[in-house]
Amino acid sequence: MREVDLAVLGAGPAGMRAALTAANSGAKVVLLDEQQVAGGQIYREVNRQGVGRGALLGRDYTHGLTWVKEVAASNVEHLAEATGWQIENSGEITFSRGGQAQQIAAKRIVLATGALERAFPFPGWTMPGVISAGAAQILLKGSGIVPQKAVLVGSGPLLYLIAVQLLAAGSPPLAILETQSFESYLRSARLFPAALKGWRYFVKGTQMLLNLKRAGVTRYTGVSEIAAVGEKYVEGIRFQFRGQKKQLACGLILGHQGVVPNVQFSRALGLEHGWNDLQRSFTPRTDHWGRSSEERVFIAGDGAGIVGARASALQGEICALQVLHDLSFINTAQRDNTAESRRKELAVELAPRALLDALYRPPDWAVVPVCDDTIICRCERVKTGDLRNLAAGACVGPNQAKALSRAGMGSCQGRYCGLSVSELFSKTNGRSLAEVGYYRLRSPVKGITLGELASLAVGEALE
Amino acid sequence: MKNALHFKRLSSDDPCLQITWNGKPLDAVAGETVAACLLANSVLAFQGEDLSDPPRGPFCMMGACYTCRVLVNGVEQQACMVEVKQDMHVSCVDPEKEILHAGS
Ligand SMILES: Cc1cc2nc3c(=O)[nH]c(=O)nc-3n(C[C@H](O)[C@H](O)[C@H](O)COP(=O)(O)OP(=O)(O)OC[C@H]3O[C@@H](n4cnc5c(N)ncnc54)[C@H](O)[C@@H]3O)c2cc1C
Ligand code: FES
Repeated sequence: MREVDLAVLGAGPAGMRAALTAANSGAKVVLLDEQQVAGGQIYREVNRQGVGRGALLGRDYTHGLTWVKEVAASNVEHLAEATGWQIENSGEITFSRGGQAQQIAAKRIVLATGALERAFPFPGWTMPGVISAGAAQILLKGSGIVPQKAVLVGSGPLLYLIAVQLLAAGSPPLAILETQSFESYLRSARLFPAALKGWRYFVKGTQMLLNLKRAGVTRYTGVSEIAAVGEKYVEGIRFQFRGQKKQLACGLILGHQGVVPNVQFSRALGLEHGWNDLQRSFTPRTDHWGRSSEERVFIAGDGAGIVGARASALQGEICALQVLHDLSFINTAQRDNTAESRRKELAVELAPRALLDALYRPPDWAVVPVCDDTIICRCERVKTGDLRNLAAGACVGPNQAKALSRAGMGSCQGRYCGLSVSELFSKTNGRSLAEVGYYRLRSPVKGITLGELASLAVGEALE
Repeated sequence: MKNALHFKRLSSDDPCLQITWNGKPLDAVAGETVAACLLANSVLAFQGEDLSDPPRGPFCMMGACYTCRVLVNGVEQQACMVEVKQDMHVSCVDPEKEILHAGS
């Protein structure tokens, strides 16, 4: 099996910076990502855009081009279209590339697999025509197609960013339905002073809202009781606004309730996690170098807790410094000198986070649907009511519910129902989320074919 | 709203590739994913449209939700993770014969 000093999984800002930092100090580094090009979510396909698309997506997007080029010019071995599906605590990574499974042994691993959009279950959300807002952005960045007359619904900074990007692409959303309420503003007001260090983000936010206003995009703030209307396909959206029922006709609904750490690998590895109430999600435990509960495994970027792109990049560098130190490429003074300046920058980037988390905290009904008929588990079509009944009975938690109801058993492995199911249990039987816990996950964390598994066996036999 | 235009291609250049969807020809543009190509052709349900099951469409576009699975030249793949190629044959997966395995 091939051996390297460091394997980085995920070529977003965190993974690119971790790989570059380690390789620039002489470590042998592989950087794996299932996408065709480096960039991660924020800088998706940034090096393949013509000038046109980059301009409409904004400067924060084109910023990523520098790092993507740096990776290409460096000693980092970037394996594109490599989907990781198993990692062992001993440092072995198994991944598929072009239908073949391969393995690499690494002395250290940095998990930089980023975030997923939080599931936002409401009546009708499994109908074709309801997609996540991030999905619409991916279609724009990666494939150059834009949704027509879509309704954006949910909350969070990304919701506005995507609205502005659609506007710039000449297809403004029909309306934005915002689920944060007056209480959300009250709750977050006290966090404002501490957040001012990150003022750049507020300038950008204000600018975005002004652009939307100028373009005449209607915003409904404080909406609730969202439901997609339609028989088999979306024909409209129903909601409650200022005490009144409203309905808009539309063929596409783009839902979004912020992003949460992608914990597939950290869970499958059995790493320690804790409940982060501010971000309403589980996060893997890491020390201030990003080291997890397993000595060889580090976690950087949104996968360790949502921090945003720039902070993810800084965390990637900080992880890499400790990796270099572990493997004796640099001494303690060298590590600490660089780390200190990175930590200062990180503090500035993280300043507005608590405010954003509080302001755009998803409302309870957006996490656990009120209506018993609403599907929670998309893959197996398990309804909220069935899970509530289980939780009210003798079923102790998500793992037993999985066996009894099949929720979380489908091919997405609980990515889009896990947090809702854990919260449903906590709410119904009054136990803390730390006690309720999350699905136990097993490898492979990505769907693979038997052919890929077989190719591994053949490879081993040849060695 | 089944027949309304749901997605528009940004570039005004003419579509330059051809693929098939369940045997019918579709226009495609180099660089777009199979999922994007289907959506741009107003195919929102990738599965279940003719079956008794409720139709199922793509959701995340980032390889996480698995509701975009289709057969690409006979091999089951995530439509959002594969780029179109000239003469690609794309079709619905038979739900009884799904072959992608994940741990559970
Ligand atoms: C859909 C979506 C869109 C977003 N858009 C923006 C935006 O426009 N602006 C913004 O500021 N923030 C955006 N974010 C937030 C984003 O999470 C952060 O800003 C930033 O991208 C986080 O960086 P990261 O390096 O931690 O992870 P990411 O940038 O998410 O990178 C993770 C990488 O890991 C790869 N990966 C994951 N699992 C595997 C696997 N099993 N095998 C191989 N590779 C794998 C992914 O392909 C991805 O490239 C978005 C988030 C999501 C989910
Ligand atoms: S749309 Fe979710 S995996 Fe393709």
